[in-house]
Parts: sequence; C-alpha cells; structure tokens
Amino acid sequence: MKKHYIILTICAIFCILQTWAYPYKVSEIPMVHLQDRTRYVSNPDGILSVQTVNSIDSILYALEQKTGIETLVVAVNEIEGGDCFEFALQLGKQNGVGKKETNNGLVILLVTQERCIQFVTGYGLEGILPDAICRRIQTQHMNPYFGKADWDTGMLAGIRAVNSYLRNYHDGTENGKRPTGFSASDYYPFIFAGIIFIVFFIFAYKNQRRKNRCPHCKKHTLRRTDSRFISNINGIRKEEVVYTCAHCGYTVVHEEESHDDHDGFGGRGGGPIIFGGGLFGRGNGGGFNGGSFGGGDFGGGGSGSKF
Amino acid sequence: MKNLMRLFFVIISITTLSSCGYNSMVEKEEAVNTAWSNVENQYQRRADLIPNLVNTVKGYTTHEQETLESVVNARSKATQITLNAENMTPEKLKEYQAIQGEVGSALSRLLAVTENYPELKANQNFQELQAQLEGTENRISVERRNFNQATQDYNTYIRKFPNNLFAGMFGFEKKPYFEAEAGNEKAPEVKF
Repeated sequence: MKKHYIILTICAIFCILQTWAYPYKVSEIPMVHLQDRTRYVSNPDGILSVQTVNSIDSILYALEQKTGIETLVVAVNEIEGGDCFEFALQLGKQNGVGKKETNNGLVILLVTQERCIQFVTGYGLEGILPDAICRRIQTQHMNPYFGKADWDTGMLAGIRAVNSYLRNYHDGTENGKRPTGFSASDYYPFIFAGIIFIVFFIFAYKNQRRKNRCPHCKKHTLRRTDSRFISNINGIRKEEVVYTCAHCGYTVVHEEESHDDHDGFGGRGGGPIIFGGGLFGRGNGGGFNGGSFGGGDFGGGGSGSKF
Repeated sequence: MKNLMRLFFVIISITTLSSCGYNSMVEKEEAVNTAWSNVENQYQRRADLIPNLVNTVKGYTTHEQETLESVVNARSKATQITLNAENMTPEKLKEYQAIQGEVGSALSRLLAVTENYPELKANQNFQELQAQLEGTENRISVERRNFNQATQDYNTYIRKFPNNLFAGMFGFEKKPYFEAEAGNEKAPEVKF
C-alpha cells in the first residue's frame, strides 16, 4: 500500500515538472509592469541577466517619460503555437500596450526555441517605426549576437537602437513644431484666467461702489470718518463706523464685524495647518507602485526575423 | 392639431426605433463598413509595394521573366476589382478573395525564386521591401480577422429576436465572411 503512495507522489512531481516545462500561453506571460511601473521586461525563464533587464528597464522608462511610447519586452524559451508574430500581436492586444488615444505600443518578443525576434508596433507607431526600420535594427544590432546565443548583448543593443531611433524622431518632430509658435489652444488657460480675473474685478468694484453710495443724494461720495470700538469676542471685532457724504454732508452709522488676526485665540488661526498640508499631500513619488498599459490597439505592424 | 399629431408621431417613432435596435443595427453595419475599408486599404498597400519590388528584383535576375510577369498581371487584375461593403454578396467576396489570393501566391513564388540570388538577398533595399511586404501580409490577416469579427457581431445582432423583424423591415441583410485562404488547404509542392 505504501508503495502506491510513493509512486503516486513521484507521478505528481513529474506532472508538476511537466507543466513547468510547457510552452507559454499569451495569458501566462507575467506582466511585471503592472506591479512596478518602472519595469518593462518580462523574463520568466531567466534568459536575460539581471543587469541587462535593469538597463533595459531604465532605458524604456526614460523613453516613456519622454515620448509616451509604452514598450513590452518578453523573452521566453518556448511559446504555444510557435507563431512569433501572432503571439506578440496577442501580447500587445490582450494587455493593451500603448496609450488608447494614440495606440503607440511596442512589443518586442524573443523566443529562443523558435529562434525568432519579433517587433509588433501599434497602429499609431507604424508610421514612426516602420517595418523596414524594425527589420534593419534586428539584422544589424540583434541577430549577429542572437546567432551566437548571446541574448544579453543582442537585446540590449536592439533596445538601444530602438530607443535612439524613437528619440531622434521625437526630437525631430518637436523641433519641427516649435517655429509655428503657440496654437490657439495653448492660449485657452490664459484667456480663461483673464476672464475670471476681470469678472472678479468688476464685482469687487461694484461692491465698493455700492458701499460708498450716499443714501441721501445717491452720489458715490461716502467716506469713513469715525469709528467706535464695541466688542472683541473670540477674535471677532465689532465696531461702529461713521460714514459722511462729502457731497451733501449726510452721515450714516454702520455696525461692522471684522476678524482680528492679532488676537486669534479660537478664531481663525489656520496658518500652520495649511503649511502642514504640504507635508502629507503627496504620496505618489515612490517608484514601487504598479503601472498600467493604456489599452492601445495593434494592426499587425512591425517585423520579425529568424536568426 | 395636425402639427401636434405629427410631433407625437415623431416622438413615438424615435423612442420605438431606438428601442427596437435600429440605431444599434446602423452602428454595427457602419463598424462592418469601416472594417472592410481597412481590409481594402491593406490590399491596396500591398499592390503599391509590388512595382517597387518587381523593379528591384529585375535588376538582379535574368531568367525570372515569367514569375515577374505573373506578379504584375495578378496585381493589375487585383487593382481593377473593387468591392463595396454595402452590396456585398458571398459570391462577390469570394471572387475578390480569389483574385487577391492570386497576387499573394504569385508574390510568394517570386520571393521563393529570389532565394537563388545571394546578391539580391544582401541588398538592403530588397530586405526592407521584403520586411514591408511581410508586415503588409500580417496587417491583411489582422484586418480580415477584424472584419470577420465585426461581421459576426452584426450578423448575430440582426438575426436575434426581435431585431430580426425590424432588420427585415429596414433592409439589413446578413453579410458574408472571409473564408480561410484557398491555397492554405494544399500542402506546398516541392520540386527538384
């Protein structure tokens, strides 16, 4: 009876080992970017070294900060179906690599058993990174190393080439746009702020006018001439103010309240709290919160090659 | 009073039409049309690449006149046919697919022939043309799949009850699908 158990456990262990060795499905590729937004390389089989992964991550993070292009790099031993293009396309589509509005996702897939390197570009990236350029980067920078199974050097060289190409393109379009100056939409915030300022100004002015209007001769010539202190409760200061019209000599007496900031015991006293807000206000600066892909779509652009 | 009745009628028809799925049918039909124009775009893109490819290959090869001609002929046939998404029938789509399939097979014959010319294969211009051509074939298959999905969505919607009643009334008809490429069923022939 005991023997059976031993055989069963051995079988179970073999089954587990078997499932480990199985080729990856698209949904089984771990998305490290979702846990940590500074990471872009999914390297579940340890094909790339830690240093390479780190340098690629930092290159791609800087690239996204600068151009907004979202990249996913996947390096695995084996994939289900063995079709590198289809696999890379589904990786991009199902994870929504790239921004939704611009579809600027890029998927780079290396499958060592299939001996293939595949780039897939989102709809919006097809024009920026054409198929021919993808192929050129692969044949010039990656395949010579991949052919010798030097995955680290090849992948890093390829990513560097992609990065510099996209950066140059980005800088080129930036410089191209500059001379045209501001567009109308750049002015909107200023126009809006200006309108608010003017409206505020008008209100303040009207209020002032209303305040110094003489109820007797209807001229705006009331001046403050005298005041008498009444009370100061909890920092609220009450006083009687006398206004005299400069035109007809009519006098008005108002009771006015004002906040006394010098004696602010339980009154306002809010200054330090506002400063205190600055200490705790931001919790987003850390580098370890999860990222997300924007939901970009792919139309089959990009290029793949065998080495 | 007449105006009031008319207004009443308009309001009733707006509410009932949107609830019977008329608007959704229009939306889904438009999605099919868009998907179809994407398919046509990609076929057009392939046709635009061919003259450039043929010229490049011509410069390096001497005995491949026949293969080159078949590509050019297939292309000129394919550029003449246009298919409108609105009056698409299964027969028309099949014909379109057959003609585009000829271009595809003529191209793959041409690319197979180029394997014999190492100088041509080393030419950067040719390599990039080839990359573009492969990318276009990929795009064609993606857009065809998108078209089939949009069509399936539309077909399923108009055939469901009670939408089928209204679909018949307003002339929404079932649309055909792309079928798997005819050439793919046969295993490639190897000649020595």
